[in-house]
Formats: sequence, structure tokens, C-alpha cells
Amino acid sequence: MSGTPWFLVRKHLRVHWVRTTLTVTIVSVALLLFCILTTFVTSLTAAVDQAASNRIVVQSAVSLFVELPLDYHGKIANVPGVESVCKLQWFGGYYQDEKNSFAQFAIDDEVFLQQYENDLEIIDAPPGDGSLLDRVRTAMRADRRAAIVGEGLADKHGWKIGDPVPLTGKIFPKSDGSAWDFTVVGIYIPKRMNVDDQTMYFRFDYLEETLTQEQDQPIGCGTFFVHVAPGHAIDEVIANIDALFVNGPQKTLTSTEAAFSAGFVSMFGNLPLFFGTIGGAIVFAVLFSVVNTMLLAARQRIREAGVMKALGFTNRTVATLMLVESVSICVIGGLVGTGLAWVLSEGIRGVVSVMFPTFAVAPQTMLISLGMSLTIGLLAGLAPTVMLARLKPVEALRSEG
Amino acid sequence: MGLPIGYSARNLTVRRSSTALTAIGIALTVGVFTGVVALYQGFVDLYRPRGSESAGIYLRPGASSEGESGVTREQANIIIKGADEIAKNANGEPLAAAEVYLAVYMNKLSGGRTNVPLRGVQRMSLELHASGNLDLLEGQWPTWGANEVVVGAGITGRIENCRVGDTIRLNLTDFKVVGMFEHDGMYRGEIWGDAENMMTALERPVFQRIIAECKPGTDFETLGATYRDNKQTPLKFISEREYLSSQTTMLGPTLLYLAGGLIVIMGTAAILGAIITMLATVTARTHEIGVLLAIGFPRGSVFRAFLMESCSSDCSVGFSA
Repeated sequence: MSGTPWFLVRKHLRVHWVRTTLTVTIVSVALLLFCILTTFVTSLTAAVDQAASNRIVVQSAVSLFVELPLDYHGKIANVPGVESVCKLQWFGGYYQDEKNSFAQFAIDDEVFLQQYENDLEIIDAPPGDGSLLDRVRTAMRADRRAAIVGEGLADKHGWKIGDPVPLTGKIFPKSDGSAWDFTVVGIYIPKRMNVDDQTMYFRFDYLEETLTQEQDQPIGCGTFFVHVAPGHAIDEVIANIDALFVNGPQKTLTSTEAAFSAGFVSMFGNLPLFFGTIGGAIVFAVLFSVVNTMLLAARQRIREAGVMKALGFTNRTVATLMLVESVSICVIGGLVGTGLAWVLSEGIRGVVSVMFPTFAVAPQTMLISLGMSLTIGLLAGLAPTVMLARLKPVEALRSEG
Repeated sequence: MGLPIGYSARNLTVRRSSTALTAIGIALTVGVFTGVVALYQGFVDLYRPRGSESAGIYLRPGASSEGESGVTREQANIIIKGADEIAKNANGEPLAAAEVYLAVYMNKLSGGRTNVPLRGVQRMSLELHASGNLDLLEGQWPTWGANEVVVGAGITGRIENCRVGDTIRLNLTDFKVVGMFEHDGMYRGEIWGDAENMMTALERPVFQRIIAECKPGTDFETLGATYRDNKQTPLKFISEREYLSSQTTMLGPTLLYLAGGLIVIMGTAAILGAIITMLATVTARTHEIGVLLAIGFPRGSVFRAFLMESCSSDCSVGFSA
């Protein structure tokens, strides 16, 4: 007799449909959870992993919330190896309602667009000649209130090129209580994960000029983003910048973009570890449920295995069928769970976009998830498979199971 | 006629490997479920109302937290010396203080940098925060006008340079740690020093908030509207309780949905796990059940025996998990 009767796998799965459904469900739920938890962690660390290698960030050594004097800009630019310097100041405003809070940064528009050429791509700009990027560059130069926004943010609020966007400043309120006026002149999508599509960038000089009229305090800037020229050692440039301000007025803390982003990740504390532990515990618990189920399935078919062996099917064939059954249950569960995570990803991102703007299930995560479902299937099927393979036909036929 | 308890008990020991597998499966399930409940409790705790209802907080209009706020020296003077709603202590001094707040970078003992809240306080702050069982555990309170700080008990074992006798450097100024204090609320995770010295050291010319004990019967809502429209001292005025709950609602929807989703999914996984395990156990013994019924045991007593077996194994495992 040749060939393996694969249809038996299908039959078994169908006969014990309650068990099959339950097992597929639990595997899929576990892997859905695994994918989502992993994605929370990876979306946090993506900005670290995908940081630009030639970009360094200068900030106050005292606190992220302390502004550096504006004359630092020129001093940093004069450090050997510094190619360009871009001011970047957190604005902290909201659109219409405080619930619509998102990230806004005041930036030096020309330098910014050049520094971020490889990080974001302009997908919409005012009509005119030249590339989208050129048109945005011109439009930003022309209008003091110009701003570019991420696609996700634009979609959320229905903003289009030319639309006015009034923002109320929480850190920089206008003295008369009115909103700051911005005009959308560009929409971008991230090319790398160190940028998200929920952010607005606008001209620093608009902030500076308005604040100069509003208040008598000197205006500062929270961070300077510096590009290091090729051929210069990053560590050296970092050390030289910090050495410049070691005696004040504000000591600086310069680090690579990756280290700067890692600082934000660490603000989430033990969240990655916590998520990892939950995910691990659940996958482990599910593994045991599936092992139990497969042992049961094997016990129930001792007699059937005996019959098959008596008919001349090899030990290998009988055992393979068992293993295939276990693996297919788990892989189906894995596909369902992973697919569900992929489908839900967009919806989850909508809910958590304030804290996790780059939330998206990565292909690697899905691959790992499917790999895990396969592993669970193999591990769970191992003991029953060995048991059925070793079974003597006579004993099996005598069994009452 | 009932099945003897010994039947259930012996079953557990006779089917050792099956019992063990079931036990581990259930233990993990219970463990996960315990995690769910702990998570839920944590959230309930996070959203529990905190802070005094009679304490008022004055911030810059539009600011939603201390970090975003700024209150000038003039405003602070006007409010603390002149505001009617502020209660007085036994000596007739207004129970109000202007405070500086800044999250500063400090190194964790376990390595890496973190943000530690730094609060510049005034003499009256100690009296105002006394309601949260403010207690000096070690050393002394900072001398007013000196570059000295006290650290909250919550950070002493976590952050570098936070033991009594250590020195904390803020930009270019050294502050001596002269004491350690305990507090029921969030202040136990902060560093406190004289507000004036902090403002000088950090070159920050404004306070972040005024906190005051208000007279009984203060109408926070009406007064809040008055302050908002006030030309001379436009401020946001809310009760401490409302301020603290607004801090959690800011995190609110995201964390709430996140935790809710996690709890539902984890709970589902846990329950499914238990169902599958028990189903496997029972199905494996249909034959045995048949024998018991054939001998003449009534259905009810067989059912009870199995229920007892599953409950006793699950409970004992549950406790150990």
C-alpha cells in the first residue's frame, strides 16, 4: 500500500470539531496577543533602530524641558565637522479641543527639509513647477505660517493643501488667548520609522517673532539637530560641542539620534519587559493546553492506529498523520491570529496614535508569530506522535479507547 | 448512593502525568488571570480620586500640567498676599506657596538616565502638603536660602546621588542632600529645595504654580471663570483633586483602551485554556464514566465526583500559582 491517507487528518479535525475550534481559537488568541504586544514594543524601539547615523541631538544637560539660548545655534555650527544645524522646539498645542493633541515642532524649514530628505517624503504640495519637495520648500519660504503635516494627521482632521490650521498653545499661549494660525503647505509620509505621520512641522521664526512681541523673556530652543559631515568622527563632534558649553550658561548633553530616541523609550520604564512577560506566559499556557489536547487526541485513536498498522500502514505514516494534525491546528490558529493582528493594526493605531504613532505590525513580527505557531504545533504533537509510532498493533487493537 | 471522596482523590494520584499536565495548564491559566486582575486593580487605583478638594492650584491659562505652566513673580505676590479665597494659618499667614517644577535628568543606580521631578518649594509648602502625611525620615528640612535639597523616599534607592550627604548638581550649581522625606502621594518621588535657589540655579525666572488651602465653601468653578477673565492676573484655577484627575485623563483613553483590550484578550485566552484542558480530561475518561454509570452510580454523583476532582486540583494549583 502506498501513499499517506491525508484525508484522515481532515476527517479527524472535523469529527472533533469542538476540540478543533477551541484549540484553533486559543492559539489564534494567543498569537494575536503576541503580535500586538510585540508591536507595541517594536513601535517604541523603531525610532531607535532607524535613527539617522549622521544625526546628533544637542539638548540641555539639566532637563529635556530646559531651553538652550538661541546663540548656541551659531556656536554649534562653527564646531568642526558640523554640516548643518536645525532648531527643533516642541510646541505643545492642540487643534480645537484639548483631546486633539499631537506633536508639533518649530523647525528651521530649509535645513529641516534638507536634513530629513531621506526620512520623509512629500506626497502633496501646492501647484506649481518643480518636484513636490521643491514646491513645498518654496511655499514654506513664502509664508511665515506655513506648516507641513503627516498624512495620518491630515486624514484624521481632513486637512488639505492651503487649509488654515489654528492651534491653541499650551506652553506658548498668546496673551490675548487667541490661537496660532498655520497654513498647510505640504503633506508627508515617513520613509523611515524615526519619523511618524502624526506630526506637524512649522517655521521656527514664526514662533520666535510672535514670542518676541508677546513676552520680555529671552527665547530659547529645546533641541538642535545637527548633521555631521562625512569623514568626521561622530564621538569627537559630540565631545567638542559639549566641551563648548561646559561652563554654561546652559550645559549641554549631546547624543546620537538613536540615543536621544532611546531616552524617550526609557520613559516607558518596564513596559517592554512587562509586555514580554505577559506574552511569554500566555504562549506558554497555550502550549500546555495544546499538548494536553493532542495527548487526548492520540489516546482516542490508539485503536484506529492499531487498525492502520494491521492493514500495513507504516509506523511513520501513522505518526506523521498525528504530527500533521497537531501542526495544522496550530498553524491555522497562527494564520488566524496573525491575520487578525494585521487587520486590527490600523484600528489600534487610531486609538493609540498619541502615544504610539508608528504602531504597525512589522513583517518580522508576523513571521515570528507564524514560526511560533509552527513550533507549538511540533512541540505539542511530539509526545503523541512518538507514542503512536511505538505502539504495537496487537496491543493497540486490544485497547478500549 | 454517592461515589466516595477517595475515588476522586485517588484518581489524581493514579493518573499522575495527566494530572500534572492539567495542573500546569491550569496553573499558567490562573497565573495569567491573576495578572489580568492585578492590571485591572492597577488601573482602578490610577483613576482613584486623589488630592485635596479644598486645595486650589493656580496655573498659566491653557496649561494642562505644571510642566507647561508659568506663573510670574508679580502674579504670585498678588495672589498669595491678596486673594480672598486663601485660608490663613494660626499665625494669620496665608496658606499658599508658589512652587517651581522641572523634570530633570538624573542617572538611575541600575544604569541609564531618567526624569526626576524637581520641586522648588516655599516654607508654607511643608504646611500645605502635611495632609498627605509628610514626614521627615532622616536628616533635616533644607535651610531656606541655602543650596540644599531633601529627597523623597521613593527615589533614594533608585537614583544616583540621592542619599543624605550626597551632592546633586543642577546645571552649574551644587545642592547638598540634607534630608529624606516620606509622603503618601506622588511627592515621595520628588526632590525638594528652596524655590528661590532653584530659580537662580536653573535660570528660570518664573514659578510653575501656586498651591493654596482655600477657605471652606470656595466655589472653584465660579472662581475659576473669574480668574480666567481677569486682566491683571489671568490664571487657570482648579482644585487639586480636579488637577490630579485631569493628569490621568490625559493619559486616559489610550491607556484605558490598551488595558481594556489586554484584559479582554488575556481573559479569553485564560478561559479557553481552562475549557480545553478540562474537556481533554473528561473526554479521555468517557469509558470510565460509562463503567461507573453501568455499575449503578447515579449521574448526579458521577458528575459531582468529577467536579470535585477538577475543583480540588484546580484550586490547589490556583493557590500555588
